[in-house]
Amino acid sequence: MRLVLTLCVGIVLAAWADAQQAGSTLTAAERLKQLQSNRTLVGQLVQHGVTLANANEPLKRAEECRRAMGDLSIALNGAIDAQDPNRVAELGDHLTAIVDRGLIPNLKDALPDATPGSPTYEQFQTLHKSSSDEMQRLQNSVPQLDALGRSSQVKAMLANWSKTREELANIR
Amino acid sequence: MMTCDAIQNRLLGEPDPLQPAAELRAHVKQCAACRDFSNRYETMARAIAALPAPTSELAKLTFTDSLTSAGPIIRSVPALTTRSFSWRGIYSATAKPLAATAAAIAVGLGIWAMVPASRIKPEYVAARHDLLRKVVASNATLAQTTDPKARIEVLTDMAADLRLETVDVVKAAPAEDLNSLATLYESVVNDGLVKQAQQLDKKAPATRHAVLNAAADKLAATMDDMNALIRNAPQQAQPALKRIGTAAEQGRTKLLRIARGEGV
Repeated sequence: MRLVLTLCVGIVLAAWADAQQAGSTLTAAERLKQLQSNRTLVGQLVQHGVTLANANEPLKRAEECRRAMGDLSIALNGAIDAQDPNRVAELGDHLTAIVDRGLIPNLKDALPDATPGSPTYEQFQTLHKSSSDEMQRLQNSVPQLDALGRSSQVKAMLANWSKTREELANIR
Repeated sequence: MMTCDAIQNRLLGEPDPLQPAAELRAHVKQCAACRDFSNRYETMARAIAALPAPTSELAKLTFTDSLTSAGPIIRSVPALTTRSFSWRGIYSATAKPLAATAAAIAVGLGIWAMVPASRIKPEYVAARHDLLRKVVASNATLAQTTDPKARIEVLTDMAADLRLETVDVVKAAPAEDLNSLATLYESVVNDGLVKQAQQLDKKAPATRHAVLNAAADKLAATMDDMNALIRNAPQQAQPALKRIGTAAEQGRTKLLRIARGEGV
């Protein structure tokens, strides 16, 4: 009985230690490296956030989301050039979040007022087209066959992009 | 002599060595040695025929052995081993090792195919930047709400995230990185939080009071953090920490004034 209990305690402790290792926290140096890698992007996105907080019209919010999308695209291009699947997936997922939860809902909200001949029609059309084109261009720029394309994270990200592009295209 | 040896061996190979073929019989008739061999054979055959048959298999074997072990009789004529090329020989020599190797490879391939690819070479997944993720999430939320109360909550969280990042890197970060965080903190408080506080419905003072007091409490926590950090922080970090502390303090003061219905 004592042996069984000892073994059980040992197994539980080993599982706990393994869980701790899997979710290990970053060191100060690793955190600093993350901040330095993303400092410009974080700054841009915080400013977009402040602007979004003060924007009361859907088209203005959509435009701000489009700008955030543009900043993420620039960072993404760098990650694609560097063949860094982790960073491509991370930034790609953030792009999806901004487009899915920011740009698309606001374009949908703006659509009823953006009728042909209205003051916002051209603005809406331009915004919609440039967003769709940007998503298409980004998707085409991710290599499908090399290490980047084989990454399961990147594959999942591209699958999400496909859904997002489809949803964006359906806003008519 | 060689000829006689051959003749005598052939005699023994005859169905009845005492009634050999014509050409053997002619030689035996002329050759004294072979005639003597034939006579000895005849004597031995008669003697054997006269012996009582052994009753058991073991006795028969023992008897046969005793006959063949005595005298000049050749017990066995060794055949010359000739190693000529033969596909059958190669097959019999290599079939088993080849089959065993093939079986081992098949088992190995089976195990390899059954093990999930992720276990063979797990993809390295780097830790993602928590602050970046939170800022993106805040943007997505801010993009979908026009309610100042909700905006204030999101902006308060965003300011808290920037404070947390500052605390995490303060000991290692150069002044440039910390000043960048301080600038962002000031912007969120002054351009976001205070502006949205001014948008709160003045007709609902209780709600306004509750929301702004909660936000002011979080800014007060930042002030306390910065004051505590400044005492032990490296020299290059102190200006940025002071800026964040000051922004929190001034923001808190403004929020409390707005909460009381006073202008800022």
